[in-house]
Amino acid sequence: MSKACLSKNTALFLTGDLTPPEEKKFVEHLSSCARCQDKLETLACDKATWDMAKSMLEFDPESEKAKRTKLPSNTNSVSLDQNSEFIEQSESIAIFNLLHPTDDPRMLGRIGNYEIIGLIGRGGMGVVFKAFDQSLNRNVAVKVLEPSLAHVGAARQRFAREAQTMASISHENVIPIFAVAEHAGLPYFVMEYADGGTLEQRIAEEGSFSAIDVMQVGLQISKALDAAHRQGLVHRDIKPGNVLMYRGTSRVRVADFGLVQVASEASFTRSGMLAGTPAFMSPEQIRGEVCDHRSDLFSLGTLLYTLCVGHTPFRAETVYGVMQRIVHDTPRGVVQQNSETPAWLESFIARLMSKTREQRFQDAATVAQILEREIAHHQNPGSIREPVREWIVDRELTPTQNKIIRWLTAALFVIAIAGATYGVIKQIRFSKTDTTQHIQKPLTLAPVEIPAWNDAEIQSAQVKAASLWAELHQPPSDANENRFDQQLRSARKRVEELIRDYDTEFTSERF
Amino acid sequence: MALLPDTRHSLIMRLADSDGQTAWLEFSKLYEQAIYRFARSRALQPADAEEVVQEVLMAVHRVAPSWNNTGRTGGFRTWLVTTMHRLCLTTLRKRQRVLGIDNGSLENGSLEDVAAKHDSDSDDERDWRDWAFCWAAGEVQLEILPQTWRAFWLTSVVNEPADEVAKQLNMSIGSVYAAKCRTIARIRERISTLENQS
Repeated sequence: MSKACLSKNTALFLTGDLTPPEEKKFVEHLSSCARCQDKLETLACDKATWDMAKSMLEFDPESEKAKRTKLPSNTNSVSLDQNSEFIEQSESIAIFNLLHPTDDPRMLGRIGNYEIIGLIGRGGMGVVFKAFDQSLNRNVAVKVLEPSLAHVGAARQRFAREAQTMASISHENVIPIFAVAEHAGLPYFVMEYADGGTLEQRIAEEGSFSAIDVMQVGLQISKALDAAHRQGLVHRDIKPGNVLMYRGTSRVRVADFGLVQVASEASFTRSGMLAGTPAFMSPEQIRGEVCDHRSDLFSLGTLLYTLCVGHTPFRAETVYGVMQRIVHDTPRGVVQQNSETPAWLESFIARLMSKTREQRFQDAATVAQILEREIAHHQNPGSIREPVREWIVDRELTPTQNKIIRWLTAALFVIAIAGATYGVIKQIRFSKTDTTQHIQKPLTLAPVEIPAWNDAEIQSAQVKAASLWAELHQPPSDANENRFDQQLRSARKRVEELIRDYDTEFTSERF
Repeated sequence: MALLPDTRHSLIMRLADSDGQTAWLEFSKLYEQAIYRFARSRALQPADAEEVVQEVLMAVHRVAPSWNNTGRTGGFRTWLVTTMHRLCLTTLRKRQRVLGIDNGSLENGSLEDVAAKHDSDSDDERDWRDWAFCWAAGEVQLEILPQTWRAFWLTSVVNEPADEVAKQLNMSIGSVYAAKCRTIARIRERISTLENQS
């Protein structure tokens, strides 16, 4: 603490123009000198700017985002031990206040006849609890409408519709609904409790799935989708977190019809729907266009891709990056990343993930049928023949096949350029020395593919081919591919020029 | 990060490239926070603000390829602020509709009043001023140490006394004041740079 006030240094300090020792001294002085503190504040900016800071920076994007992502979506993705941390959050306390007291010390409270064991998850519209149904001695999942929406008519209707939707699709691969009722003015419904967690958890724990498991999961989800689509319902949120598993069986069931849309209804976007990961959304969903049942098939394709390789196909640093890639990019081939995937499965997934709906399979039933046949063959290759894969259309190549074809084309171009150059030179020389003989030659390029290259020419062509080949073998990257395209284009241009020169030369000489 | 004001045009140009991925990421990181703050200051809920962020960025992405440089630096900015404003308003309306709050249940025509108020000229200025602040603050935040930002934020936004903040962040009171005042001075400086350009 120095006696002499250093306030004359305030301005220089603010702009960082003091020498380091002076600065150090000033900061020490500042700790105890109210006058300098005030002066610094006045000099820094006017009152309006301070006020502006208060109003504009009140909400911190990062911490709000962190808070929001910490609250799990309405899936079974939170285990019970995570709950304690969860309950600490004030919002959650509000939810637990909803519960009626219970006699059982192990329970958190009651909703109707159900003893609440813990919180499973939370979504835009509701809170999902794990609960115990005493009358039937089984665990259930209870979804209660978000208390803050209790007085909103539209929200209540929508919540009721989710229950109705799920109840109306009675299918072995859709989570069954046991009851619908009200508790303290809040509607809730009771669903089956899945004890095996979600596909999302399974991928996180165990990584990629074997091909047969991928087929089995795909078959079951496509059957569930078929059942929903037949009723004119589009799920719109197919993702691993919404597919529930059971201990000890390979059965899966689709849950969370909170976003379901009646096909004929006008689009009703749930606010904040984009807030989560868009990784499983279809291009049309991202563009905000109308979704139909084929949008679910795209999401299914993305889900199967994820199961095959252990991560989502479109990854980027930001949400927008992901969305952009979904709309524009072709993902890397599945086989490239997991060589155990059968080639047909890669084509199958690629077909589901076609950018336009017309190019995808047209309904979930077709998808289920194909998978059924493949599974039958896979399980019994001796007696059941490999299915005819008539759905593989030639023009829709898998990314891996595409790559091979591009390499081959490039190699052919190199040979063609070398050949054509050589041919044209030969022809020109030839035409200059012996015009009479030349006139009998046809005017097409065909006979130009002259045989017998000399050693030097062959060698130079080989070197060229080898260097291009080496370049193509570099790990694929966008930059590489662009260069590749350019090379192809310029090669083509050169060949065209040569042909034109060749033609001109002939015409002028002959006529 | 003096990068943005001057090179805004070149950034848009790079967005228009087929390989605009990097420019896009730069753009979205810098603007994400600013748009979010802007939307929150317009009474939007966190989820809605996030939706606006996404929609603005998508809109930018849509117009970028066909963006004409007319030589006016303000062109893009004006467009951006107008777009944000419009999207905030749309989202606010949508939210009210979704929640079943129709115009009738509000005081008569109040929603229209809000719209009219928002459409007036003086509001353009307010929009621009707020946006400039959000943007400048976001830029400064990215440049300084998180601890410095926190000290600034706690003292000047949350209004916590400097000595408590100093204790909490394990800094000297002098450093807290330094963080507080230097940060705002820097933000102010950025804003005036922006204003001089328009």
